[in-house]
Amino acid sequence: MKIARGRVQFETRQDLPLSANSLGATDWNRTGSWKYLEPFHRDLTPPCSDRCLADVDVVAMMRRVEAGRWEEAVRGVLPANPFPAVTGRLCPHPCTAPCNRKAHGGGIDVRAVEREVGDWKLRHRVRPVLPPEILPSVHVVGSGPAGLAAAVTLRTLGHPVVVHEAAEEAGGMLRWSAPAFRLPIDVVHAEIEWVKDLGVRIQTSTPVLRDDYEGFGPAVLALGLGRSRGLGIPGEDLPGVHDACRFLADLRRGERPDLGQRVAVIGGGNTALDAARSLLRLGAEPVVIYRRSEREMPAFREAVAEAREEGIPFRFHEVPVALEPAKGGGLLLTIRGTVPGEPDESGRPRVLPGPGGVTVIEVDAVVKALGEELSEELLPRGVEAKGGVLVVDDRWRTGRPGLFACGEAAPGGGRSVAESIRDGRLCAIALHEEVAGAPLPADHPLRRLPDRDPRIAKFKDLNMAWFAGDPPEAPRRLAPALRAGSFDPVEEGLGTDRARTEAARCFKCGTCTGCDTCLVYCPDFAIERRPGGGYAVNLEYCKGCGVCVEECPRAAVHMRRASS
Amino acid sequence: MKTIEPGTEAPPTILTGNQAAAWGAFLSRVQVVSAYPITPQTTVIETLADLTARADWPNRFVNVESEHSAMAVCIGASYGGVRTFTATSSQGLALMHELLHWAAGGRLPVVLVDVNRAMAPGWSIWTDQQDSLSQRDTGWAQFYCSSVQDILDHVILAFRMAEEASVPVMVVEDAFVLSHTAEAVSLPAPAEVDRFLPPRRPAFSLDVEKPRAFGGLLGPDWYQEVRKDLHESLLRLGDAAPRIYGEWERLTGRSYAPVEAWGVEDADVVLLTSGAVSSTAREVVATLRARRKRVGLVQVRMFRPFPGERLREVLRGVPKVAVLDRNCSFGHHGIFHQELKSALYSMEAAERPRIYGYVLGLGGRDVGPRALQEVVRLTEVREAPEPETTWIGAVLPEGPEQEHEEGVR
Repeated sequence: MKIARGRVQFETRQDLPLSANSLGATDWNRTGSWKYLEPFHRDLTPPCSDRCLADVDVVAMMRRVEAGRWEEAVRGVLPANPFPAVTGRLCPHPCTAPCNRKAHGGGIDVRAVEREVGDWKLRHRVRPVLPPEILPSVHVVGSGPAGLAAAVTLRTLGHPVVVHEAAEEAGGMLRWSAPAFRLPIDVVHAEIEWVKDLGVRIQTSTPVLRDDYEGFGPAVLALGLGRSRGLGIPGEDLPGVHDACRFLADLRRGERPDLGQRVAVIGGGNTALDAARSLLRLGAEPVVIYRRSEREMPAFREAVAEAREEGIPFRFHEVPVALEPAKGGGLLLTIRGTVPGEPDESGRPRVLPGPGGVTVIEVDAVVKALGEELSEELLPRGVEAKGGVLVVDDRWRTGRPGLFACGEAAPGGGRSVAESIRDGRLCAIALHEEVAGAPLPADHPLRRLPDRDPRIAKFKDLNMAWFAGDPPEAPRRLAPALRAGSFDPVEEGLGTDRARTEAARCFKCGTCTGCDTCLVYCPDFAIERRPGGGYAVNLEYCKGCGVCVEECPRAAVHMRRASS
Repeated sequence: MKTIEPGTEAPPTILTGNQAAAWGAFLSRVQVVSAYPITPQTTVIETLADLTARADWPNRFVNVESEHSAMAVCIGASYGGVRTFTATSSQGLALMHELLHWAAGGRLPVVLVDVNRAMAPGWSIWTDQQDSLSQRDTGWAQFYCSSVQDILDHVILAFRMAEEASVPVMVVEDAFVLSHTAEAVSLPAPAEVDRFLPPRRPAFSLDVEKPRAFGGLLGPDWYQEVRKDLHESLLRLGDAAPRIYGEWERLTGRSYAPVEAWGVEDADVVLLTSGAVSSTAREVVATLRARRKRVGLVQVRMFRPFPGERLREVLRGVPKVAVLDRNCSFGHHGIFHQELKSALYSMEAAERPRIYGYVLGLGGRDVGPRALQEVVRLTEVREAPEPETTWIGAVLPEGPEQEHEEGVR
């Protein structure tokens, strides 16, 4: 066989191949002219990445973990979320609610995988690439999740950062509120050390007073809410009535407070449940009293379910009305039933007095967990609060020039650690852009997610022929019966091997993983690998048959009307 | 289940035609089987599924949703270089039609057992040759069997011939008459089969290191060259068949030929048959010759490539040939009849037999000794073959013309 003037020539019959075969697309029949539709590669938005509270690109993390590229996985997560070991334990993971895997073997445990990524970061001390500190120095007031996230973000953008913390140790709610069975203290310590290792200076036992702000240049106000709400009932100041935040902080300090045997915990938030579950572990018998129904509890569903597993009783639609000393030294707590009324501005039903009488229960202690409010006396001049929330504009700016605010006291604050971390990052970016006088480039890793079609990839879009229906790698959980008396974590880590298996189960919905399925199935050799990743369609030969679209496992190839 | 070690287990000796077909494929150490069940083929693949599950060599049994896919799997696997087998019948073979062309044009040595079954409508599960003969021009070799032993031997022979000539081969057996009838069978020892049929050495195959596409567009410059090569390869297979049959005979003692003849030399009338009818015809010829009637028999075993030259030799000088067709090319003749006429056309007129066509046994109607004796009688008494085609055993006489109510007749 020889090729003359671009044509194949055969000399003899024996020279001829037995059967027609070709090494590439045929040169002279440009089948592309047949088409009226053409395929194109475009990632859809994966439902998990769309729902992530911290803007982590979950699917990208899963791909790297599946491949065992742990350091890359850490580096991929860090710009959005510097603390995956924390969110990998505390996050309410709304990403898993729309997981398409639920319909095929079971949803992906994203949090468990993220936890392994976070632990890998701490174990291997993975640091982001740090530019020299050539930009103006920034002060961050408060070292909770928002303040720390803002500090890390600013440091990675090239600002020297000083964090001021009033308490004797940094970490905010991570340090002083989260109980050990949800977030072990050594994880907190390791994260703080990691932040310091990036060059962020953290000054503890350093309350920032009003006048101190005068000496700051650009600064981030990342305050917690300092003051617990009261019950507003007679007897509130009696001995035996405790504040949940203080109780949890005492525990975090290593104390084992003894409040007595029978303890009523008043409230329905995460703090109330953390307090009740801690009391159980100290050997007490807590009961949670909440004025609305279970559905309206602000606590995470998972925390409520775990408290129920542990056997903690709940009294719903009840509100305390009085406290008095009991004869034997305890407290007599008078409670009254409530009924739901018209919805209030939060959308939840108002609490109205119920028709029945009152009930009196005898307890040894009462723990108040009614939420907290802003202590306005410490706010710097020019910073206003409205309805207990700091006033900031859409670029996180307070009324005081150069002062930005995020965290629990800022709008939207205090909902979850993940959201606080996101707010800290966004606030830091806003400050940086104002100081630098230019926006971050659109493709900067600190920006939200990669460029994708905003359409969410649905289960029906995926091609199940490519996926086995294997069940999830569920983390081992401490048996409920063993939890009283132990502050051991409820959930164990998956370990790296099982995390890889779980990440491999992930469909990577809507995103091209470079699996070559389109290329292999194209009957016209019309799909080519692009240098540097992804695929290109050779429209001269693509006849628009749609096999690539049909076969793509993850709905990353689509059809449109042909351009020519 | 325990693995069958070749040569160590005494094989069964009573088999149906379908079991024999499966054993033939198994003894050929088939590597990929893909098939879709259809009456009366089903027991071929049931038996083979059971056998291959116990095979001690790597193999795959691929379940599919249609015969079209079954042949597509066989084609893909055969491009991959492995030994590939399927079996089907009637409508299933018709559904494969497009891919039968592909297997032949692709020069893939797939072996297919077709259990001859009449085509619908009216729906029928019984035997005639319409299904396989409708695939005459797809480029497949075709062999028609007349006993259970034939079937077993021919599946093994088919792989040998297919791989030598790089063409696909169809082995044909009659529905029920052979497929579901048990006969004593001599099973060759696996080691003997291995000697006769070494592992497949493909002329070309898929290679992931050197990716290429098979069967792409072929322009007018070269298409005809490639088709001519397919045609000539089939003709060469016809030339090679006696040699390959000879090797088989040395190994097993059983002799076959593309055309087999009995009592032709002195015959006034020669019956020309194919398939299971041939064994009935042998009995009839023996009976008639015992009565001193000069009757002979020619059994056409190999239909494609067509053994024209051999038939001209065998039938030279025979006065009359009666061709039995369990099929009809509607609007012309029975297919063996027309094939024979075209093959004998080049003979000198003085040596050329007169050819009488008989269509019979469609849709499984029994073809017994009486029907064959009737064919002999009709051929003897008629000076010339007029009409050219006679339907044997069509029972309804002619009546007056009448209007038919829709759907009644």
